Amino acid sequence: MVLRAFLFTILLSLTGSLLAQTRITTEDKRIFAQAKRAYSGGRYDLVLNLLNRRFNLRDPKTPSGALALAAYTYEKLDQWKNAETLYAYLITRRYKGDNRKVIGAYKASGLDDLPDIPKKLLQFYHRRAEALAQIYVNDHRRLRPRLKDLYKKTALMYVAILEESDYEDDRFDTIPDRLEKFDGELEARRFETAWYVKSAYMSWRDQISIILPNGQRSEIDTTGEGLCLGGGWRYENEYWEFNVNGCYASAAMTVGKENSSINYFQNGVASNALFFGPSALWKPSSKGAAFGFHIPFVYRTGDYTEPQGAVLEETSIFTFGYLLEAQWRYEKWGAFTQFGKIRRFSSSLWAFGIHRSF
Amino acid sequence: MFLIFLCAWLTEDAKAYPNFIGYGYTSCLTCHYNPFGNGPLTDYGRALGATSIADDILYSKSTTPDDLTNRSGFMFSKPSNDWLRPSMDYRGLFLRRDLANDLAESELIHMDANVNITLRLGPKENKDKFIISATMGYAPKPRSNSANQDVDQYRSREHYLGYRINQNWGVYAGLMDKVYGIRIPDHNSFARILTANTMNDQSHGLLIHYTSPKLDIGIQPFIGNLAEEANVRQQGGAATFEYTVNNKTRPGMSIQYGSSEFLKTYAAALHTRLGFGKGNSIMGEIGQVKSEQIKRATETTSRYWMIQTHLLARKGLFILNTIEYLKSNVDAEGKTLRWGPGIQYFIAQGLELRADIYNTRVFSDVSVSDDVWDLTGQVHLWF
Repeated sequence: MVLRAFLFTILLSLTGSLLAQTRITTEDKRIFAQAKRAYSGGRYDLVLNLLNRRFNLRDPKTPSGALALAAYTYEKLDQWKNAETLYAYLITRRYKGDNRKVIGAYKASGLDDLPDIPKKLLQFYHRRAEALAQIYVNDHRRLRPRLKDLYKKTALMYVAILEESDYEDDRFDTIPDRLEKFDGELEARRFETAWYVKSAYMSWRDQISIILPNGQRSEIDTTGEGLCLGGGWRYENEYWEFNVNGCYASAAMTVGKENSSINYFQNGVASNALFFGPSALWKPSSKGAAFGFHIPFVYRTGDYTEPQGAVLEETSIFTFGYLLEAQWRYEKWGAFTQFGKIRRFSSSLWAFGIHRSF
Repeated sequence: MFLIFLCAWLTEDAKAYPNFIGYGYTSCLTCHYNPFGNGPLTDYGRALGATSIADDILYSKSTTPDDLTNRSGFMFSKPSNDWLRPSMDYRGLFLRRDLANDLAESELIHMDANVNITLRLGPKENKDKFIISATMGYAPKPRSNSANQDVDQYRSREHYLGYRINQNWGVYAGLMDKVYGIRIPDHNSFARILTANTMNDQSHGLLIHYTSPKLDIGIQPFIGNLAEEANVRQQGGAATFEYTVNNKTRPGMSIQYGSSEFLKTYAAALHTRLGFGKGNSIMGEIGQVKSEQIKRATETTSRYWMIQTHLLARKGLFILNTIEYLKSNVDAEGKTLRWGPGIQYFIAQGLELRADIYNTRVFSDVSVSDDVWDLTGQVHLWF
């Protein structure tokens, strides 16, 4: 119903606009009437065909009604740039005096001393603001930054003027929100890079082999914990983070096995490990938290003392792992946890730490 | 130590969710009749759970938040009066201990089944100004006492009167949880076991509560649970304090003292709750407990810390991790760490599923032992 009333108003005003122009022939009126009927029937290509055949839409002498109908039709066809050009023309040429006063007053003192604005001009302000907003959102990648800012600024200026006026069609209200939302999404999708340092408490269970003097081979588990210091480089937007990071861990291990053939125990064994690898993290609900995988490549050494006559193997190994990783971020600071398996380690690896970005 | 682990699984409950600081909710009183959480939810708490916390995957697209609010009352209905608020909840646990042990058996345990009635007797404009709340529940026999036929499996979980003097002050009297630390729903947590704040550790007492946008303070003298034998009742006091730095940062501290004929305990803790973005949080508590066995004239000081993280993967679905440290005796070597990643899913109002893996590692200077892996699954229903 609202749409019908809006359409009726447009067509009525288009007729008025056309008749208000000079040098309008009977044939002009007939073609214009045909075009209006085609517009009412949703045959937008035909509208433009008819108007282009009869009128030169680039000619300043073309009646306003024809230009406005063409602009509305371009809107329907999502050709917002063409629509915007026509609205700009209608505003700056056909309402040259009124528009100059309005814009002059706006630039001089904002919304405080705006003159009376013709209803038709207000309608063109609305339509042009809508067209500029559509171009801003849809053609964002093609627009030069300065032009993009100008489009947004102009659209918001028209919205501000419309808010101050008694213009009744309040659909312009949504334009600022749509622009802000688009800017927000754009910002969220933009990837940024940063370096960071990190420090973590880490615990893992390792495994070494012992070959006894009688040739018997046995696996011995170790338990350790330590601190890992390092850093990384991240590439992220508000939805994803990819990073490569590494750290150097210094840990104290306890190693031991006691059975009928082995009695070996050592406490406080120094173990050093280098972890380096990529992470891929998903930020499901907000940029404040992320969850994903880390694939570390690991070089680990241990200063285990060989029992007399026995040989220890795998005191230094190179391996890799797969860890679940979660992180929480607040501005430059963050906390993270890692939990998973390193190949050739006897059980899980845990890490909990903090990082700071630069 | 083994006994502690064993008993712990039987004392798991969850009603209060302090991690909702991730949504900007700093104070428990917003959603619970009890100002420090746990126990029945207020109308607002139920509506909040239905609309903002639980997933809406089971509802049709035409269901509006108003519809969910209207279904958030007792038995999914809209309350027919403003003075009576009944509720029920059930929690069942699937437990498989020591996954590496082929001989270990899986168990299904009905951890609790509670019926609550809350009377809202305040004036019409503020019905919660004066409340009476009582919860009766089923509790399985502790494993350590499973052969004892005299163990009562039905007990009052809480019963108390509450009066809000004004917007800031409230007084509560009756059987309640003690105010100490962060009331995480994991009663198997070292932080809850060591400080005697698990599912069946409520105490009769008086709770004085002060709240303001910046502060929550609770002071609670208690006389033990009167249903217990007089000589084992822990009498003493607890106090907790939380300060709102902003709506996502809430540090605090707690102290607790209890004494019976056999045991004296002193506990103190610092804690913090931090929110990140929407729904994500990190909570941490570090504390120390001194226990004096009076008859044996022995004294033990234990230390613990706990970090629990929540990451909101989608509406209602959390990836969580509980990291815990326990040093049973600060004067002895050895400590235990436990890493517990899990998933918690509020599928709809009244239905929560949770699964956790617990990887326990013992650090000792005299031996090397294998890690222990336990698996738990929980279903929590509330009406």
